[in-house]
Amino acid sequence: MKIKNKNLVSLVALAFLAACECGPKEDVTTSEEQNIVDNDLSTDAKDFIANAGDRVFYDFDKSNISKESEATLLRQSEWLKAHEKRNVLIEGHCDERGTREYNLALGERRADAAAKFLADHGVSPNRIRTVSYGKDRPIAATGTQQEIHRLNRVAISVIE
Amino acid sequence: MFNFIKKICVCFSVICFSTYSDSGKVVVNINEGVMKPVNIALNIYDGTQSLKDIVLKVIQKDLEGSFLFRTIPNAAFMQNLKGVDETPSFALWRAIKTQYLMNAEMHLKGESLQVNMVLYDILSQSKISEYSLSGSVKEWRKMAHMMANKVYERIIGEKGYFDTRILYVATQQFPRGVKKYRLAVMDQDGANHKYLTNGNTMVLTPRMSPNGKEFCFFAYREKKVNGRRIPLDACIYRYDFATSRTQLVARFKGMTYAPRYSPDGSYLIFSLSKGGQSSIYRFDLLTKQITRLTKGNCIDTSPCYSPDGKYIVFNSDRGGTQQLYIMNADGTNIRRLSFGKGRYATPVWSPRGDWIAFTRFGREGFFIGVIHPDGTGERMLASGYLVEAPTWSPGGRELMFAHQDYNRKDKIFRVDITGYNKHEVNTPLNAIDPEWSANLGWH
Repeated sequence: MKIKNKNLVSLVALAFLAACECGPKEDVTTSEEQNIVDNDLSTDAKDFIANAGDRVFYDFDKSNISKESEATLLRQSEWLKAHEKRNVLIEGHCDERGTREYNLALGERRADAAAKFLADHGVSPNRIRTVSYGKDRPIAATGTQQEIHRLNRVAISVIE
Repeated sequence: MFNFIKKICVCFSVICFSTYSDSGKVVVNINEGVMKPVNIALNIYDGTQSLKDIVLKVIQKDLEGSFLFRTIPNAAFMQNLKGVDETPSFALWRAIKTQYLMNAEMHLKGESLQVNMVLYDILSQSKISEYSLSGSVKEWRKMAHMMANKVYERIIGEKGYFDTRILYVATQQFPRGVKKYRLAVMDQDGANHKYLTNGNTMVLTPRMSPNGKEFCFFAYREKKVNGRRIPLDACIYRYDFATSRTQLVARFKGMTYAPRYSPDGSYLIFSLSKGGQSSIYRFDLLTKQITRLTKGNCIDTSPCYSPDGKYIVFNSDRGGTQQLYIMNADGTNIRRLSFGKGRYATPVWSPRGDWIAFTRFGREGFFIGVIHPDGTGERMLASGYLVEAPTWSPGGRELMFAHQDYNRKDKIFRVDITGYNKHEVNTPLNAIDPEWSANLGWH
């Protein structure tokens, strides 16, 4: 599922028009659970985790890529170049010791930093999608300093 | 007596309401350390006896919940008033330390309920207010809130805020790290609790429209592939109470979140994040035109209009760390508001325009505080393991905020503008992101 380019806004000076083709019919509040199963994707997704790694960590309130993260991202870019058909999702996350809305922005900034790194290393930006969950999708944690650090992360996964 | 609140705010630590004045309203004394509630007797004569008790309970909970009133138990009453035409024997009410008496009668005719109410100042032996209301018996609860509003308004000198609703996000933790988020709404006193969404979609930050007829919120649209959730997009939706329908506001490249209505309800302002930048935009709900208000390689978020619509306060890291800034509503003249210790976030302008509530956090922990728009008068109202996201009662007398304890239990708390009376708001599940509606009003 690529981001719909036709829904992009056309920027005119500071103002641009909204894409309203989507109309009022979409209702997220009663959405049904549908589960698409794709076994090949599952195999590739596991291979990506095993051979490239799926987590990149950040310091508190930071979004710059550390040396350790660089190694992971380089492996990921190599894997993606070898699997041209696969696309990835980069999820930005933050620890819980912050405010919700700011952390949504910070998660986006982290996801974007990882996406730019992959793009700079030869992965087409069309194959990369980003999203931020801020502090609202923490991995199970008990709140020790070390674990809080591990919440400041992006999770990169093969999704299609 | 309209400056009642002002006096309280200035002298929040040393307040006592005491006795009465000739006008029948409360006089604030600034020489004692405790806030002393007003003693009020609530009497309702109900020919059919069917509604009296539940109506009384609602009014009592409203008034006592404000911590400005103490109700005298009915068992202590020395006079049995049977209707509003009967004049009270003031000595008998004074004997049980009554300062004010609400004397009401209710008549039920078929589906129609008529309420008449008279308010007495016992010490000055005078009638200070009269009020009548009629409606469908199904609206008995709303009528009770309107009666409590009237009492509050006449005695405190400010509009009552008991006929209001609270929107929030109910959260529930399931095994294997799955957390469900559902939009929920309830009356200010916890009654009429209702979930608006089924929990399949992650929803955050509901914000009420000024007229209370709809709200907007942030949600992720997702699909499930191989059992895991894949986001399709993350943007802002509107929910209409009358039709229970949700509609997308607009989809943009990037993520839109942190929405709020303009005071006249014609615009939304929100953050749009893309390429590592988060800026504030204004969206015209009628023309669908979008205008960028801030720019730069920084995070600008949590925008909120001043009640006159002339300014916007927001949260930005443009100076290095999260601080509060104010700009003109067109995005010009950005100036920094907060200079204290730590980080500042989630600014919300008070309905009267005199305060901006915020979250402050750092080494000392998390606080909910207030500051004047000119940068003076900063003080903290509440603290906790993690507190954030304040929301004002209409009139600005109280705030609600999200409170997380060490065990990651999320609940909504309520606190008075003076910093007194911090207490938990009951919700069936865990609760985050509270949003207090404006007064809904009678029809």
